[in-house]
Amino acid sequence: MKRREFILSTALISLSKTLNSKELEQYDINSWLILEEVLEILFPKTNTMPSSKEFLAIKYLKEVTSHYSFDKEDKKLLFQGSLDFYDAFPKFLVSNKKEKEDFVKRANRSSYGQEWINILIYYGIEAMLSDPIYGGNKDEIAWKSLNHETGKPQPKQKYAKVI
Amino acid sequence: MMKYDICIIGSGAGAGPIAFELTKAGKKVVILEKGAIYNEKDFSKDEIAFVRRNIITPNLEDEYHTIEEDIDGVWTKFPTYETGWSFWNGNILGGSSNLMSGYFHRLKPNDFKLKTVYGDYKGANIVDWPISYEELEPFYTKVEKEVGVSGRVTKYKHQEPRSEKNYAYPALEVHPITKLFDKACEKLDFTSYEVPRAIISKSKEHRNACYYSNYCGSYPCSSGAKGSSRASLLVSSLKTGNLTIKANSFVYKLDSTKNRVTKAYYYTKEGNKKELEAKLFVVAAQAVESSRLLLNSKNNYHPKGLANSSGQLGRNMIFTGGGIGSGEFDLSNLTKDELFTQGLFVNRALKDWYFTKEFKGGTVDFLFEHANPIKRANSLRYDKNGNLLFGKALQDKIYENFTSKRVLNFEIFTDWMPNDNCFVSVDEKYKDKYGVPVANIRIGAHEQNVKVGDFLAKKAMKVLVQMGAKNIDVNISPLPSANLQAGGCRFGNDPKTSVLNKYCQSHDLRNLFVTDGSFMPTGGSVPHTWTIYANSFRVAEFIKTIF
Repeated sequence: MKRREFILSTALISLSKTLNSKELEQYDINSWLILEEVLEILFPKTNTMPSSKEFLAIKYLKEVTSHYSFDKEDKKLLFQGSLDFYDAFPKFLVSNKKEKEDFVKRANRSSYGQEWINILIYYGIEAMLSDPIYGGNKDEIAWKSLNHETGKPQPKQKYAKVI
Repeated sequence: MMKYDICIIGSGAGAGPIAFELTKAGKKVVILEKGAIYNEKDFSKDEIAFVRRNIITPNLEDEYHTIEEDIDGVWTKFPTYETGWSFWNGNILGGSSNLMSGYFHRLKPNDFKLKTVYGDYKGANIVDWPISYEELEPFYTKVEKEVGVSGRVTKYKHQEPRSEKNYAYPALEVHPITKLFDKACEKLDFTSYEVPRAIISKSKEHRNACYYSNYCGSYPCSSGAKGSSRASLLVSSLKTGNLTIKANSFVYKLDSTKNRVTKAYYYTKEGNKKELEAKLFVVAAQAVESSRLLLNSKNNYHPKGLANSSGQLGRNMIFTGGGIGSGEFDLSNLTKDELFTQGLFVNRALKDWYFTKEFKGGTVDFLFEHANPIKRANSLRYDKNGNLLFGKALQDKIYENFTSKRVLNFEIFTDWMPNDNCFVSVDEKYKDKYGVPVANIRIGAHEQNVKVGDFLAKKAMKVLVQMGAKNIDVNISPLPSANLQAGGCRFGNDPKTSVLNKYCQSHDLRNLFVTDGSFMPTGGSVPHTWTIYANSFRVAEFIKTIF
């Protein structure tokens, strides 16, 4: 069964204005940069695993968040959360790696911040381990790192479109 | 307007045998299927499309159910668009039979007469079936041949009588871990039951044999080996030239006179209203939706809904009770090559306690954790104390989990005790995007479900311990299985207490049949699919004699 793994809680960080649906569609490039840098803290390169930049997490998110099947509440939280995070930590983008990790840890102490980080991890894992046809898991990099043998055939079309 | 002989609503396990038999008999049959037509070349092992998004099921914001749960003594409705707990199962040609794992178990003679064998359970509405195992046995055998069942018959104390010595297809290949399982069972004096599967091990006509993709349950089959209604029955039915399939057709109402159903009304994908006439109607939309359709079809002749003079329509819904458990295996148990062998099945179960002297027991199926990497990795994002992991700790945990161990799961199936608080109803307050009242599902569970689940879990855990598993875990739950639905249109001999007669024909409207799992008064302690297929073949034989 599929219970929702994600429940919105009250905002603790939020100081920024609330995005309306049109603004969500026009989400600006700086905000994608915030998401990209936070994802790199959540999924850093290790001896065994690729980083979020290596498995192209942002390319994946741009692809799937524009599809009708993407959960609308999750989408709202992803984008609104990044604005709120930037409001709370305006120096984030110009900080070094250690400082960025500290900002993410501080955000994780609030319930709203943790909900946002949780949803980033949830979709970051999708980016890492989905079929490359969706834009992430570049050249099956994460599957190879995990010795994961995917099922065959792999999709020729996204979202089970009838061939 | 073209008038068909038979109109079938739905195309899954309850529908396929009717189309297969009646088209061969020369009847003009039309299937109205809510979803699209797919075939093998359209299927892939795409976790995003088939598991993580609502692509082959409706978007819950458009079409949902309400789930009625007991919250501190008050029955409270939760729309599934709020919870994400979908009760849709495969809106494509062939329905949810495309997505099943195909663990096929027959019912046993005493499953047909639980009340006679065990008497009344307080708070449960147990009744005997109006037919016996002996009446259904030839059709179980027919399913083995036509749908395709592979395996090896296990001799044990509860083995049901069989008219054929062997299954129609040889057993599928199994994983080396079965050696540990068999050995553990021998040590414990348990029977290692070899589970038959609705997956063919040899090619059959247009269907290729299983190729051990490692992505089986929840995914449609790319070789046609899995015995979906689509692959095993509908393709052959189409070749007769007597079958018309109208895809993307959502039937929202049946019209009737006092004695006969006359028309089906449906929406096309574009939202256009259409109607269709037939001489005989077969409803097989999966149990929840079948009850919903008949309740929503009320008219002046049938003010409580079609086939509902008894007031029993929608009542006594059943699912399967039980829960799940797991244990981890690593290189201390098997060699690396053995442990990480991919694709081969476990196909083992415990059924020694299917019946006990004191109470009806059940089945425990064993299977590897699904290969789905996204689901597996997402289950790892918390530490033991429930704290969210990220950074190197998360990456290391994912790596460790994928490369050093495998998880063997078990699934427990107990009889879901039918009771007054488990039913389908409709409520004008909750409507889908078409303006049609959605199904409300009250999911009250009888305490016996959990008691039997706990009893069987202890047996399963003993096997895992004996096998050398680590981190053994179990979760027995009173929640229903959304994908295994039955009941709501009980069959029986008394029109005052049942919706259908013993041939799954409405007591009230003689040209109306219901052939999905809705007819079942009790469901057995197994997945229902084999019984649904067999019963639908049985009903098809009856329809041939009257039509």
